[in-house]
Amino acid sequence: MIDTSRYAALFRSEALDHVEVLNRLLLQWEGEPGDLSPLEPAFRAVHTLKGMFSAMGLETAGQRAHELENSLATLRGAAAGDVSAVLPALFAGADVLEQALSAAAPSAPAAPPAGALHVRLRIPREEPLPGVRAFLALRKARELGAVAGLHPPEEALVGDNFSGELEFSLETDAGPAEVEAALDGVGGIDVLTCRLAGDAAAPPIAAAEEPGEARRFVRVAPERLDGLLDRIGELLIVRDRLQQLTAGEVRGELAGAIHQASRMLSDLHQAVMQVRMVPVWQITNRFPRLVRDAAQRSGKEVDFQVEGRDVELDRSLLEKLSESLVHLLRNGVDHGIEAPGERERLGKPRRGRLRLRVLRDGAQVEVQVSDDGRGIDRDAVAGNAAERGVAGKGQSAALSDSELLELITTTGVSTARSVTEVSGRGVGLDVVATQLRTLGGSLEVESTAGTGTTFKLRLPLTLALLQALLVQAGGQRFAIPLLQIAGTLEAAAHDIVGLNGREYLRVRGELVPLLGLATLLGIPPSPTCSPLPIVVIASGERAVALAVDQFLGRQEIVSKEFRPATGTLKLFAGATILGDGCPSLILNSSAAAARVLEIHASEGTAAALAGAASTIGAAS
Amino acid sequence: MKQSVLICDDALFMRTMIKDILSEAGYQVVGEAATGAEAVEQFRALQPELVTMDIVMPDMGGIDAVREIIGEHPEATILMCSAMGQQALVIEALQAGAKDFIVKPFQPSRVLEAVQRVLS
Repeated sequence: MIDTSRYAALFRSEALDHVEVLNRLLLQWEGEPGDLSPLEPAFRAVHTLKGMFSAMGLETAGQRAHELENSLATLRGAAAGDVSAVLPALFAGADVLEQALSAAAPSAPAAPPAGALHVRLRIPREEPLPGVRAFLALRKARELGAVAGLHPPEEALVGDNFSGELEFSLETDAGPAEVEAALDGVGGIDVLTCRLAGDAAAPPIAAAEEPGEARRFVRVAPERLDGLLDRIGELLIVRDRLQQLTAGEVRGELAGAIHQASRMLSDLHQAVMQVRMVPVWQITNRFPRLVRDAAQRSGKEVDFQVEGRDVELDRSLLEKLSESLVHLLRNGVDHGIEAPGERERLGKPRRGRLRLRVLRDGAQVEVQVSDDGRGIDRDAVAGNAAERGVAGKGQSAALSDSELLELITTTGVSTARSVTEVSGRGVGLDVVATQLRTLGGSLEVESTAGTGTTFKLRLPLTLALLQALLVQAGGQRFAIPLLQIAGTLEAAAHDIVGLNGREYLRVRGELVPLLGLATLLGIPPSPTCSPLPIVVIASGERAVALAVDQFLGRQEIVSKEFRPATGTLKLFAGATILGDGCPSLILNSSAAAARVLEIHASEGTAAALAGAASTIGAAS
Repeated sequence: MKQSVLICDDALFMRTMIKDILSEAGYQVVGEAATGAEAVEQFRALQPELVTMDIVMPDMGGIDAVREIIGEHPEATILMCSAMGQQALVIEALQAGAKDFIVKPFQPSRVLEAVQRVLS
């Protein structure tokens, strides 16, 4: 019996593709009921799904797929009849399959299951008695777990025809890295492959449905790409440090080598960012179905078009964008586009138009969601804003697009249900705007009464993501990149030592220079609490301790460039927008540590502090 | 503290070569044996940290000597010395409990590499 859990992720992603294809084909048929050609590929998609469900032991879902397959088989042969009678059942069938897939989702995606590893080894040509070397590797593997599927068979190792390559699967609790290290330790062998058998490059369960799509892809778990990028992020920091340490110190070949290594690292960074790019259709493919359902629910007739499906965006960005787009599309159908009868009265075509366009513009992407509906009612928005005490302009008709945007993305206004009813807009737009800001993007709106509304979302192509610790100091929030933090602790009063008017923290028997982060940044410090939360930052051989008001937790943030006024200390590495939409500065830890050390080394601490305060003050 | 080695080979020439390689690298050769039986006897007396063992020797071959030694001291570290073309015999010795093997003609670097590997 195969342990199917190993294949769960692959199964799910591939089965979802088939459900998507099915939905697309059903929509196509709904649009043109006379044309029966979508039924054949739809039948094939369901058939493939049926097989996949059975292979995974999902009997009930397999049965549902079987029923759907039967309905489609019958329709294939029939002449075009009353489509509206069958379609709801078919769509419902597709939904059932999708739900079955969600149910089959692995409950804890965290730890990869301990399973069989696929191992390939090669004994280099120069090794004497390669077969015996292979035997030693095999013996080591058997110490770690059960070996199966050995190729060539063990007897062949002593023959003269042994090629030097050996392949087997290893059932073990040890991880791939551990196994690889152990095999490496045998000596005289190269480990070519050592990975979970269910991962990547696994044979496709079903052939690609789309004819002409003969390109080959490797499915890779997204976490692996994230891991890769994290490592490179760490390497980039090491590179910066290396450059800092050697600046002006080295020349000639060493300098050349350092320069070359850093250039190659930049290339590698670019290459990995490129690998993370995925085409927009990965999220937009499910939108036609979503728009159709929204239109059905609200009794609207909508033609939906997607342009620019092949534009590529960073995977994590695309995932985060998806929610906002769903929001805007639903809004467009629910509130933008008028009911068919009303449209006819207005002299518009019965069917409304909803369009999603994705445009690449240099290092940015613009996503437009536009409808040809009634437009946003500026009077209602302004009136409602005034009612809620949000500054309104009075002459509502004169609201500019940017003023309108400001109002509809204001939490108090936009989330109020009355606004939705009156103006026909606004629900959750503040969420969309905030989401975009956290991604380093921006939102624009163009709306004309009677002719429609266009939302423009501008985004960077890639995200510079950073793991950071959020802290509060002097009542403000700051982000400190995790990679630069040596540790955090809560210091008791007796751990703090005063020397020559400066404070030190006793950390594992050593005295570490201590300064309040607020003091360092020249903002009024909050009253000291006890125990005192401390962030320890390592700077080369030295460490410094920064006291803060409190730790706010770790968070993944998007770093945006930040240009401090010239001539000021470079204590900040950038800025970010937090989840609640508020900006926060990212501390440049090495500069901060250097500044603390400088202050502690200086003669008069008070003077130095005053100096620091005035310098920072000039920056803000 | 130097690690102790027992060298087993029926040819004095081979023993001398291995001895020179290991001594130069800082190992202490505490004994030599020219037969399998001697090897077992010397092992009991000296309890060396490493044994290099020729396969073909008079009066009990190297493989039987490995079985004997491992039977008494399962943790013993034995490195087989083999000639080309002795795959099957080396595998037999490894199955009997030898840790690794080196192949004649000996290259000092390869010998030391193998020794370091099994002693680590």
